[in-house]
Amino acid sequence: MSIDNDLVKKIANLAKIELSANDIKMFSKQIGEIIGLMNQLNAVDISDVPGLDADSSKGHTNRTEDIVKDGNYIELILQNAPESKEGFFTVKKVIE
Amino acid sequence: MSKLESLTISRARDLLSKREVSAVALTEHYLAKIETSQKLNTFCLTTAELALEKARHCDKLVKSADKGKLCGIPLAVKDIFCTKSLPTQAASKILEGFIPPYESTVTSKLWAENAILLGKLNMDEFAMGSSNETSIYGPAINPWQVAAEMQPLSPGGSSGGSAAAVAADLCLASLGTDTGGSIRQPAAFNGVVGIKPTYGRCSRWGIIAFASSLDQAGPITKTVRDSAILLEIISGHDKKDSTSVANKVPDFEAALDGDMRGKKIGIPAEYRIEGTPSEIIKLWETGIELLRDSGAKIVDISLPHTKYSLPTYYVLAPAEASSNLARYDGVKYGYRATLKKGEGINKLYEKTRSEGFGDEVKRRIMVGTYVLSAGFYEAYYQKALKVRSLIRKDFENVFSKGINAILTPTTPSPAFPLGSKGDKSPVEMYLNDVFTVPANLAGLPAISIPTGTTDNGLPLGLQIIGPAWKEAEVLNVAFRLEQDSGFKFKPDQWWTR
Repeated sequence: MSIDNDLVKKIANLAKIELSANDIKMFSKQIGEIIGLMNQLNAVDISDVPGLDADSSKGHTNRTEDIVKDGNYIELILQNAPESKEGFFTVKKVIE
Repeated sequence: MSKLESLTISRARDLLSKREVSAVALTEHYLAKIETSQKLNTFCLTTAELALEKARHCDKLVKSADKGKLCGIPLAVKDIFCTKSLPTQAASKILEGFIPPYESTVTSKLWAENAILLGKLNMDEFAMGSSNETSIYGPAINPWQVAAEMQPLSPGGSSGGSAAAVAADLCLASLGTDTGGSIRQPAAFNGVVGIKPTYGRCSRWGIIAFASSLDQAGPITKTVRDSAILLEIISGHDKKDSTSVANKVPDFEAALDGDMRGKKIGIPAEYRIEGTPSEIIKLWETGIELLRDSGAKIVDISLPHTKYSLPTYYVLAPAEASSNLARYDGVKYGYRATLKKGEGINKLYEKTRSEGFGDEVKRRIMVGTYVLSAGFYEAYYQKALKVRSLIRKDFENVFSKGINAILTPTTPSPAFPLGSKGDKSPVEMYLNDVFTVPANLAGLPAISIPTGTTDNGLPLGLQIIGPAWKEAEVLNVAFRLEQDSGFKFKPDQWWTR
């Protein structure tokens, strides 16, 4: 199974990954196969399975107040940035 | 043979406390072995100076009452754990040059007990892979081989470097992470022990995220006892990870009595899949007999949704990955692509991610983006979440009927040659995870232990899956099998010649 090149281009655009023409061809085939694997789920009857909300409502019992416990190490964080200036990350000018 | 060869944590602990060996001598021993084992490509970073400094510190503490449970024990950790002031790349180009300003919770627990870090271990890029071949460093090599003239074997993945380094005796033990089998499959391929704890048992804070609802850290060791020792130390609630759970952490080592009398061991019919090699079926049957002989009751069970585990996993894991990996944009840390004149911010993201991620990571990000996109979210993502709850229910049903643990093979094959799988079809590689992903989807503890070999001498592993929070039970069944199967973990050291 293969999916069409336009769909791969659309996904790559959403995922912000630049692809060459060869990449698009390769990923069309491979992602098609993966979707083929995922389509096995169509055989499962899920009509009686409650939505996830019911399940996940139990999962937030350890949620706590979001209190800042540290901070003020801008320099340390910026050491990892490819480019920074005056305490900020820098990128190329954004003009719409 | 030197008394330092094939040491375990428990044995080294004794030698260190009796002062029969110093932490410095032990550390030097492993650093020398790492140096002569470059062919295996297991370490992507060695921290020799830091290790020796810590070892000298440990030697001063040896008589102190609060020296720590791992004082002087040399370990290594997968490149996915953030280590403060030490490069951490998750084997990806996109994290080139990244130096974490913090330490992951689980590794900081090891250092707090005065364990010694020897270095960081090779892995599949962002833990996405089952063969170590997606690593930017090139694959780690399995220390086991059938014959010298044959293509080297894969150590498995994604914690392939962690398992190979332990099997080659380059450290006393290591840490890996397991999202769909990434501790257990390499443990099986390398003839060592690897346990994935219950989801929530260990903190995920400071571990580079792949699929947050599935990822768990765990030890890879030479013996079950060593796994028990390390697991206890890295377990526990962490305020910095709201999915870690405040359950009491038992003394896993003390629980190892090997007593199987009255235990019910489930054998799931659905794990007898077509095409499984007879050697693996035989291994499984031998494991069943050993447990029966030691007094366990063997019970045939059914986990009817098992066959949907792989498709469920390969919807959910990429979906979570596509979201987690959105942070790599070339702005805040790591690799940034060079732009041409006139190219803007969008091009910065697209080029950085195109040049920084390998093909497998790109594939998974795109699959994840697809299943979360408008029009497909319900058909794939929502559906997979519901099937996941059916898979979890299958296990709950079985355990509610008094089954103590489930015994299965860990992998559908022994270690395969590098380059032999998944080159053209990624799905072929995914099939490797068929026996391991259900425990991740259900959040259950599962261990792989080596109990035998193929006819040509490659190790094979059995998996024991237990109810949530019953790692002690899982370890104990593994301990029994370890005693009775008589497996010897040591491969011939061809790589030093």
